[in-house]
Amino acid sequence: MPAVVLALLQVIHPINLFLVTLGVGAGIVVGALPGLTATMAIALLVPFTFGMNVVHALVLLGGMYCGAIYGGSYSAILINTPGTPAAIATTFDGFTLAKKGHAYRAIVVATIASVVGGLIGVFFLLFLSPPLARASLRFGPPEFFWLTVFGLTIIATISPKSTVKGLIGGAVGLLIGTIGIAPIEGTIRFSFGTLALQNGISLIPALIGLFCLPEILDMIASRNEEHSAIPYRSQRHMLRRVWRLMRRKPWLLIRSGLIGTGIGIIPGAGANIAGMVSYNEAVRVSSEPEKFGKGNLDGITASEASNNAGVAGSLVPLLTLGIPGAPPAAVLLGALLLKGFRPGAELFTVHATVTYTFMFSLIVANLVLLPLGLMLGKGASKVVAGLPVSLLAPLVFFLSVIGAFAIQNNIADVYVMFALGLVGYAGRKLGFQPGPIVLGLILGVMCEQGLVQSILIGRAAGMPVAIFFTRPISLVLIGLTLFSAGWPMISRMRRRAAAPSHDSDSTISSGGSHA
Amino acid sequence: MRMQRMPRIAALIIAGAVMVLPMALFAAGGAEQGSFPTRAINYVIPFDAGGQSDITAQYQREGLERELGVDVVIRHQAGAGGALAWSALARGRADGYTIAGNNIPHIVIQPLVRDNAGYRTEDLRPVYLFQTTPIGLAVAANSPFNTLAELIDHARANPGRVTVSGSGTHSGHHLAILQLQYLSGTEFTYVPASGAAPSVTNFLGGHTQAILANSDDLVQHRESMKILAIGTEARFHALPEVPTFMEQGYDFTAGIDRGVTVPANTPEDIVRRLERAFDAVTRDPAFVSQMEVMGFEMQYLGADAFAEYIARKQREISTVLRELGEL
Amino acid sequence: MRNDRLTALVLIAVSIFALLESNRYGPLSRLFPRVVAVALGVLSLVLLVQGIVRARPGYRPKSVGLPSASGAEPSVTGSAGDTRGMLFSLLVMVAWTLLLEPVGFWAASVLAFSTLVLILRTPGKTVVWKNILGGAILVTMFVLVFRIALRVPLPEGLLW
Repeated sequence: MPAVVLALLQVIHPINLFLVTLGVGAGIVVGALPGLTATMAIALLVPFTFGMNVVHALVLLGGMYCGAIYGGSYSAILINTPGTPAAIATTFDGFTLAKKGHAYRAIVVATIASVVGGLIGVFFLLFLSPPLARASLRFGPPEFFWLTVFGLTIIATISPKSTVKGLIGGAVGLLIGTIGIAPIEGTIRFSFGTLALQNGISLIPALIGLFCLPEILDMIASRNEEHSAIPYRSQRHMLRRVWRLMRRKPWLLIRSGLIGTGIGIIPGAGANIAGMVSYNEAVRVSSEPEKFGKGNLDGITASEASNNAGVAGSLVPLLTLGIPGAPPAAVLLGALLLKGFRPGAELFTVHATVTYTFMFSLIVANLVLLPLGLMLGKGASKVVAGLPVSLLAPLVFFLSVIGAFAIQNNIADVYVMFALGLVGYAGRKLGFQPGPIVLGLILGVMCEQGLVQSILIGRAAGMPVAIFFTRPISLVLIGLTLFSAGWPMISRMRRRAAAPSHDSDSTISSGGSHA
Repeated sequence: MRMQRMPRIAALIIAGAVMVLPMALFAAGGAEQGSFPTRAINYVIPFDAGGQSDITAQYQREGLERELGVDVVIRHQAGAGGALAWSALARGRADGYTIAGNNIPHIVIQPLVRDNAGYRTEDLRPVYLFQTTPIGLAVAANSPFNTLAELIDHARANPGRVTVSGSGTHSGHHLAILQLQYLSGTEFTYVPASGAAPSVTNFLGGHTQAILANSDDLVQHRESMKILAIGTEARFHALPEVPTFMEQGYDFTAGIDRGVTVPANTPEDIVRRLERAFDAVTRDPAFVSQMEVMGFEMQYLGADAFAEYIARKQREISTVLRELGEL
Repeated sequence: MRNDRLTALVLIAVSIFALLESNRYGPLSRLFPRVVAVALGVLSLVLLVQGIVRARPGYRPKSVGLPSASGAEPSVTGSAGDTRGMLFSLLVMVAWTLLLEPVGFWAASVLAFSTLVLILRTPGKTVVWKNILGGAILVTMFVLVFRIALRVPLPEGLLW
């Protein structure tokens, strides 16, 4: 019997179905807690899979990966804090909706988008892995440099109120990213002699601090026992209503899925960036860019479809070449090696049944996500809505502390979280949003690495500057960067030429459909 | 039967919800006396999950639990080239319940190249050295160079033109390239990546001409590369056709040694207890064969031999770094 | 706008400091921080100039910017908000953070959690003891899950 058929039979075996469901469920819970990332979820689970056979282990871990990336959207929507870095772009529109009582609606959108995006990613993983993986190797240091520069142009999109302040935020993020050990010469930078800063500012504590603490403080300052901070309003047939809206924009879903898959495949880029890039493109293509950031369902769709597509994307180079596309995939690689499996051609020949079972199980994982996600999402939004501020604020702070600590078991990270939280609060009062700062922090490390590696390679080849401008993929990325940076001007001109249309399908104005 | 672990977590969570807590409170406080160990041991890996140190530890865990009769919990505390975990260990309780992976040369280099790495090599007591990952030098399968001599000649004629990918600054790979440059009188351009995986990516994508890689990566990717030399003393069992650097006239070895360490003032009997456990686990034939398949070389150094080895490495490395002007 | 000018000045100082500090680093370690510092300086200068221009009498903004959606709408409730309560809570949070290690994760959290419940209560409406009990149960549950199931070594300190 061919491996594919065997794999199909395996994947519908009750024990595998159970393990996928368990993995997805546990992943959602872990991913939803701020600070507990998909990487950590998988790393915590690996010891428990030690005695399992390889299929069971992979099926469970794969489900966990999908669930955790999706679960990050809950805290993004409900408390304005991405549960995993992949969900940053989900906060932009998701939390606004939650404050108006539409948290569940936002979660339904996130769920559908995640399912569709995830399935798109698996499609490419199943059918196009080898050529895509080989193509991903074309991404060298110069391409990485330009990819991150392109990524920085997103700042303009996510800070509509003041581009200057957005860019300043980004620069501050980049500068924070340089604290600690330099990538090339090993110099310790901006540590002020303290041990804690020598290790640099880790992304997760910074993320929690910048997003979460200001939210807690605002919640406290403007608390009102009559209303919940995050009210819950229910609607009948939410799934059908939302799907009817989303169905009208198939290209948004497909495009976001493609972007997520593509960025996921590039080793080292990962889901963190995928959501942001996809959000950026959604804003750019939209006929009403001004509605993003104010509770536009399209923003959530773009972010979530893309980051879940990135899950399967990051497995493409892992399974074909043994190179993980993202940190969670690196832990999966460890699990594979532990089982005595060497990624590469063997996985598709000798062990084809195992490999295909794993891939099929990702399809199942994405399908299971729909009912499980809706159920857990409804529960989560009801719980958050039911808590008075006097309980919710301390609880969220407690979770922030535990999340910041758990990422490296390092108490200094809790202090960093708090300090950056105060910075974030002051910044917010002055009109600086956390998004650009965190984007700078994420991209800065990659950007510098790409820059100095390119210089070293370029110098050796006798073309230290030319290396940045002569490679085909680099040129495409430069083009994209210029286009993206110049877009605000182009769109302004376009808008002046054409009168604005009024079509508020997917935006919920306050006073909308309450039930 | 190991499958029962999953329901066990679920059960634990439920148990937490039902509030068995006060009991746990008391249990945690008592029971310090008696023979070591009486409770779970934390095994800290100073590098990321999924890396070679982690995989080795995951393999050892079952055996350690059998030998010591308590749970062994693997945790990850990656950061600052291992210094984050080692400084935490040096400051922590010296009771043997927290042990950490010990990677040479990292554990030796960090305090040498930084004013304050948060620990001194002397603050830590080596317990057992169980494995070495030899470092090898390779070029792409379609590269014009077929031997180390050809590559070195080319590099000598074109100083700085040959790019070599590797993982990290002040790391095992960095040290290897420095030694090779020093002994051969050549100059390469070392392109450090943030880890083994991105380094391999840069090399496989053709962005660098050569790579210094750990033996397990060499074994994994051997179809797409020509391995020119390996940093062992004798031929390496997993790649017997590859000559050593020493054979080819460069008198140095390169590798990453992995062991386990505790704070310096840990009581002697506890150190010996851990040493015995690690020795038994390391000599387990099943463990040995797993390690060798993955491309590791076994070592069986007990606490005293390991301490001597570290002292020797410390002298060697500081000499090399000083002569090369890195200090 | 005055805030903007102040912020700009502070950030310019930061960027100058970063530039000076980076002089001590090697050529490849200082390149990136320098580029970023210069960018930060220039952008802050733009912000400063913007602030000065807009502060001039007779300046009318071209477009009326809506308040940014995510986040800062401090006075939604009509009142100026409870700044005092917020400051008290902030103090408790600082103490909470600092006590984690010496006192222990669980004890510090239960203590600080309860204090926050007291500060944030609405007299006559909140059943304080219920919230404190609920908080303590939640904290204990999480601490147990992390310590036992997830094996995260939360600091134990003096009182667990």
